[in-house]
Amino acid sequence: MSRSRLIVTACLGILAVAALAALLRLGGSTSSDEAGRLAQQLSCPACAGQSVADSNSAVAESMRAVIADQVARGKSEDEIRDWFAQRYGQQVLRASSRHDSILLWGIPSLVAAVAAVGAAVTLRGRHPVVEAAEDGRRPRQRQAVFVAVGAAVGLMIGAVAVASRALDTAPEPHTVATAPTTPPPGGAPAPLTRAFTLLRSGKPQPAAEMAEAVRASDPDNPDALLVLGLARRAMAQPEADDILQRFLALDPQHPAAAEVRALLDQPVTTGRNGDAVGQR
Amino acid sequence: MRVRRPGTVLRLLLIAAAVAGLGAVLGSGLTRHSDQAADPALPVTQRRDDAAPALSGDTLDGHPFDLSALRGRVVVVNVMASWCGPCRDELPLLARAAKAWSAQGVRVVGLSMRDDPDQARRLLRDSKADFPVLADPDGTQAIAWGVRGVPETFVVDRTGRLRLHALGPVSDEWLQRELPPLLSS
Repeated sequence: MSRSRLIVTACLGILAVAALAALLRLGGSTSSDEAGRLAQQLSCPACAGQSVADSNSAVAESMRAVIADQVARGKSEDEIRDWFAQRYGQQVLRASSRHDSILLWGIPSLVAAVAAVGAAVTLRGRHPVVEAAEDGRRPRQRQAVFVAVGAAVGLMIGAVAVASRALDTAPEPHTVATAPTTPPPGGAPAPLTRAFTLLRSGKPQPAAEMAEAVRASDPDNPDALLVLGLARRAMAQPEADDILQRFLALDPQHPAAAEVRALLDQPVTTGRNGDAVGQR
Repeated sequence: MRVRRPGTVLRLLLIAAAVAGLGAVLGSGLTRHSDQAADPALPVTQRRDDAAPALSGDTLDGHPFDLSALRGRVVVVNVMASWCGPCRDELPLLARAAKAWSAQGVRVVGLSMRDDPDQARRLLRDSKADFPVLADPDGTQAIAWGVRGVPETFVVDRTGRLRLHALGPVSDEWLQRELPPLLSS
């Protein structure tokens, strides 16, 4: 082999190895561990379509830290997904990004194959400049190869752009007035919202009744248990704390859980019948 | 005196003018910074009515902080970072607001998200911000509040309910509009 051909072959070899390594790394993001899987199933809310696994942004990194923390604490995948959906809305849960992986795997592989064929064709035989000078057919053949490789590269660039959908660099301050009408995520259903309001307005009895009505069809609804427990506590009824404990057991990651725990550490003031209830 | 062709002088003048013009355009682009008055669409405000998430930990000064201790006050929680330009622009406004609204029962608290503590402290000092700022080095507290980016501001009412989630920098007008109803409830 001539020296120039050797050099070209070596360069192509290095590129092929690098491409393979990159592909393996990308393919490896179909992670086998639970945290990685979850990160792929969540959409980074600041990153225009990228998954939490793939984004470099501060929000995505923080979300990965939260996922790892919750996995370590033994939360189930469903619990973790629900936790995120409560805070970011259902849109944070993404469908499987399988088709993205295929694009990201398949197109570069195709391009690599085309480039390899093109290299083989152009490198076989004598030095192309000499050939071109002597043989009128060579330029057209080389032209065809260049066109094919160029088209494949263009296709790859397009596919990568479609598959990744957004380039993001690390910090993402709010520079865009995004759709302002996103409804608040994880809001309690209407009867419980009214019940909460009643509770806050100092009307625990109707609040308790509304919570009971919700529990008639959904006995383990954490929000209903929360309202019921708080309402009964406001009325100094002894079963209040048991209800709140049940709430905590059902939904320990509820936003109000920490406060309820703190509340349960304080004794209820003496009930109407003079008992000091709730002391532990 | 050397004789110059008149065309040369004109050409030199035109080149000088073009360079100066280009410089002016580039320079104005470099010095322009985000002007909130120019973007009335921000912040995007979501109205909420949920129990506020927990917020506790050490401030950048090393003192313990717990949001539940501020029950009875209206609390403005500002999520920020020193690496975020609009956050840096917003901070002096918040520093002033913390003082101006304090007598009416408003407390301002910062949450320093994924930030270098020294840079954050320096920024607070430069902005004359006196309010407590919690460190959130891995950003997990911010995620618990549903933060999508920085700056964002949450407002918790006197009973500990999360009532407002503003995405983007807030303004004095925004505070004037949103705080009084919560203060009087």
